[in-house]
Amino acid sequence: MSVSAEGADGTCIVLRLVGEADLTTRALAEVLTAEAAKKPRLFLVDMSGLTFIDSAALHEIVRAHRKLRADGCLLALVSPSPMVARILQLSGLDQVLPIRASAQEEDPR
Amino acid sequence: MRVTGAGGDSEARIVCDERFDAATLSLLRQRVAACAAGARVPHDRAVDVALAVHELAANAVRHGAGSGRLVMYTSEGSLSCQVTDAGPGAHPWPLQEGHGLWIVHAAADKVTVSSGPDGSQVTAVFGWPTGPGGDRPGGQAT
Repeated sequence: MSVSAEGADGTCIVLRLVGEADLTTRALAEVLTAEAAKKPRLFLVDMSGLTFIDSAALHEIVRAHRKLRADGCLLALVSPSPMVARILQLSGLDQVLPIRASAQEEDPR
Repeated sequence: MRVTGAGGDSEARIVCDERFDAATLSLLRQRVAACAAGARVPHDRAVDVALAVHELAANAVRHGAGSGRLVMYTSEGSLSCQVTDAGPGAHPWPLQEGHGLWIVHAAADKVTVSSGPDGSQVTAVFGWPTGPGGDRPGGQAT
């Protein structure tokens, strides 16, 4: 899996995940922790290029979500593929994490 | 190996027999997807199979012996996925941790767990609708 972050102004960070993310993907936890520590007002996890994710990798995203929420920030998932959407549904995380169709979608607040 | 199915010993056909460890989890997912397609599991159900089998294998890798074996077999409109870890690990396996086993239970129709001195075994069974004009695998006419 490859992961890249953009958002120089610090108010919005977009983390782009490409490929497969599972329990062996060490980079994910490291990047999530580093980027969430910047306390962006909006933290978008772009899943459009993600073909697979497992519960261990999702757990890292949930950890970042909790940290950001405690800091008054919002984490949202962007355009998950059908397989990723299915695991979000099976795990119940689609009820916990906001999901957006695109990164340009308006902030619902 | 001998396979006994629940509810009568109808003919079971092994469609996948793979060993795995942390380095081959991605490969295992590809094999599971290919085997499910080969066994004519409908695509939506095959996604559930792939997700659940990965969680079981990942559980064996992380909490069990670090490696294991997957056997998949079909029998009368259902697919059974049997994951066995390679022996006693540091912790009893499978551990009820996070969302992994939750996902397996949510995806599968039936999950059975057995543990012994030689390791643990989880079998997840997946069914799918086969009604006329419905979700019949391959969409073949009869």
